Amino acid sequence: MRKRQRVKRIGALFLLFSLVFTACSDDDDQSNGAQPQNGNQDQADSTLKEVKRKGKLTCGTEGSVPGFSTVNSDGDHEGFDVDFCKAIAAAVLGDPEKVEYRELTASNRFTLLQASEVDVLIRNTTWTAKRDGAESGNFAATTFYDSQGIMVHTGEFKTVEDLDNSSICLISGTTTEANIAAYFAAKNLKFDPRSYENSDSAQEAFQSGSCDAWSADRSRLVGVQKNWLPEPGALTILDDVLSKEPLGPVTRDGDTQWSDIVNWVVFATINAEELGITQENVDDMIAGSKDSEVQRFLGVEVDGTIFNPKLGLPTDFNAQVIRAVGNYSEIYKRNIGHSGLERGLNNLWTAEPRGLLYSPPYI
Amino acid sequence: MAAIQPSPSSNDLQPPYTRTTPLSWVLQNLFNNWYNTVFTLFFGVILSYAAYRGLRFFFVTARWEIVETNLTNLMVGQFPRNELERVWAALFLLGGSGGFIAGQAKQLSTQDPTSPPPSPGREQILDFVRRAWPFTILVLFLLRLSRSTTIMLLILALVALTGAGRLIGARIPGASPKRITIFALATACATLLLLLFNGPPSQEWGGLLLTVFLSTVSILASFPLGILLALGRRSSLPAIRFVCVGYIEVIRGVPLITLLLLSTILKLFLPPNSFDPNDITRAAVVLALFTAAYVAEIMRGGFQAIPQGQIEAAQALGLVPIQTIRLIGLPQAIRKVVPALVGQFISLLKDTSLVSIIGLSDILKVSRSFTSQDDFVGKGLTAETLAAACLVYWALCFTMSKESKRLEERLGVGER
Repeated sequence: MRKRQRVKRIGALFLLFSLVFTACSDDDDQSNGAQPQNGNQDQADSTLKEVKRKGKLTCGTEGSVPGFSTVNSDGDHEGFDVDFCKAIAAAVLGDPEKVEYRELTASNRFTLLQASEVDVLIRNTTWTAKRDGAESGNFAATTFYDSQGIMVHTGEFKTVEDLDNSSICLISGTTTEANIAAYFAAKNLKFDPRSYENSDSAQEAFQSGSCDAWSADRSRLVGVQKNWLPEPGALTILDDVLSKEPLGPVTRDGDTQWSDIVNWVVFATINAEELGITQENVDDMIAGSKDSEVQRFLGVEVDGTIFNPKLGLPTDFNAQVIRAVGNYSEIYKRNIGHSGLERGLNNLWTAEPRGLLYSPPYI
Repeated sequence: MAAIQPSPSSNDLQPPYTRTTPLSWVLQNLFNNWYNTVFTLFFGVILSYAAYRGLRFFFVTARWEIVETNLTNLMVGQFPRNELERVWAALFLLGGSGGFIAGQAKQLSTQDPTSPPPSPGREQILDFVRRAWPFTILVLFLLRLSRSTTIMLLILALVALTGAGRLIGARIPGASPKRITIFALATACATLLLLLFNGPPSQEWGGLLLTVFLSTVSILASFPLGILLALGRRSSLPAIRFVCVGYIEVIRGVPLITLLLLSTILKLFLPPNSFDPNDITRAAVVLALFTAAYVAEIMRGGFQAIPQGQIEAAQALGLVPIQTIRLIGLPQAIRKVVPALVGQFISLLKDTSLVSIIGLSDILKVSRSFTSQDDFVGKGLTAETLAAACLVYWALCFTMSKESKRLEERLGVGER
């Protein structure tokens, strides 16, 4: 009898517990659906305030992508993506060094962005519909148009058809894998994927001859091709373009002011290149330029007024950005150009040959 | 006792003394019959080839420039380079007071009448070599890479300071466990102050500094917490027991990675603008809470191994429960579980490498990022960076395990 009561009691306890748990998980379900909006309504227009309050920008980067985001031997972050972090900090806080970098993985980047752990995500992130929608990211202007390519040792393989039944080094769990599978399937070719955990291991495997070809972002492939030590020209990148990879900064959905700011910081670098303003001549331009477009862009007082587009930024933010990191072409040359990668799609639309970089007018 | 005292004639009964030369040992153990000979040759060839390749890599083929250039990165990550004096100051503080504590502890143990008489100087030096060789290898490796006289001098000064601290500690009379504890606590606080006060935010810590910081903090925090949980689980009060069992089983039932990832989205579970620790603090707390559950189970094993008679005797002497635990239970329990406990802490030290998934740059993460630097990208230097990280981990863990073995010998674990 007593034993039975005890069993009952334990049963009741379990019931209670499961109730509590379901209650919790119900809560979670609701909050998962509703939180992004709720949270962001609380935080609407507040990323800017939060950044100003902290006195620094928290920028999500990768930390080990050559040219885009690396840590040098002095422990400083540098690279193409990092320069855009610095540009945003310069525009908002007036100091490119007021950035705290968080090194994120491909899988946790959107979670941490949602959790407000980073203010902006500039981590080789390809703009896709799903990331824009389901993952509640908001993509700013594309900073780099990349694409997926295939690299082989020169000689044996000349076209992608030659790669039938070959082995290809890849990074597991990225769009790279799906892209190449689709491309080969469309051409009715077979291949043996060799997946590696990160691009370093994939690259080493390719170089040591573990696979016939290596498929990755072309920006990465070119960097390796040009710096290939034994003999330059020993590696060939096939002409096939497997995918579109527009890379750009991401902010949280729902904070339009902050996305505008990030957008216009990117546009600042593009506009500056169009106007011929560089890190070196920006101060001379402020002092001496009579061009009204340049004056407006740099926030110079003309006839007693300073142009203010009310973006939530100081009126001289363009000048701050250019002083900190230079215009787009300078950022490109400093970080990627030396690998020998042509501007290609990343050229200005107004330049020759035409690229895809096009900034709305700063009026 | 009297029965096993040697009788005068027992000398005659001693086993025959055989001289073992290395050659006779080899013949007896490795080549004593045909299949052992085959095994010896087979594995001998494999092992010596592996050893040859390993040593050749280490001393000849490895291109250590990548680690050489990034040595500071490996040690402290992104710690601002103009604030490195802080790290050195902290090291000197730790070295000096560590030496002092060792000296005082030595004094304590010589006061203890049951301890063996002090061994001669040569023995002590040998003993020190036996203790410190893994760590010495690491320091020599790093020194060889740094090739900087300043660092060499600083390290020498550090060693000298530690030695001086030990001598002073052994000379200053009045050592007591209480004094040692207070001194150790003061050192820990001072070290933290040196590193943190008005200095770079802890988010900029990285490399070995971060790994050591995280593991030290979580070891120190998880130990008392684990003891409390173990006592709670054995408590006769159902509420306490229930909470402790629940905590232990929930934490043990969840992978550490999951907990670390949960800690990063903590903000979603807290009211807005409330208490929000930085990510290093969060990682340390998670590691400590996680390890505490395991420590609790280990300690419970220790408590359960104490004969009931001991507790009853304590009660008969009139000790209140807290005294029973503090004076009778704990010392015996800890003594029994030293090997398991140290095993847990070693595993914790290695588990700190998981913090890289929440964006912290521990030594492994830092070393993995070297190969993407402009100067080293695509040159196949992963092996070098990983080997350096391996060596650091190995030196730390092996030292811990050697110290645990000493502790076991001192406490007489396994002798009864």
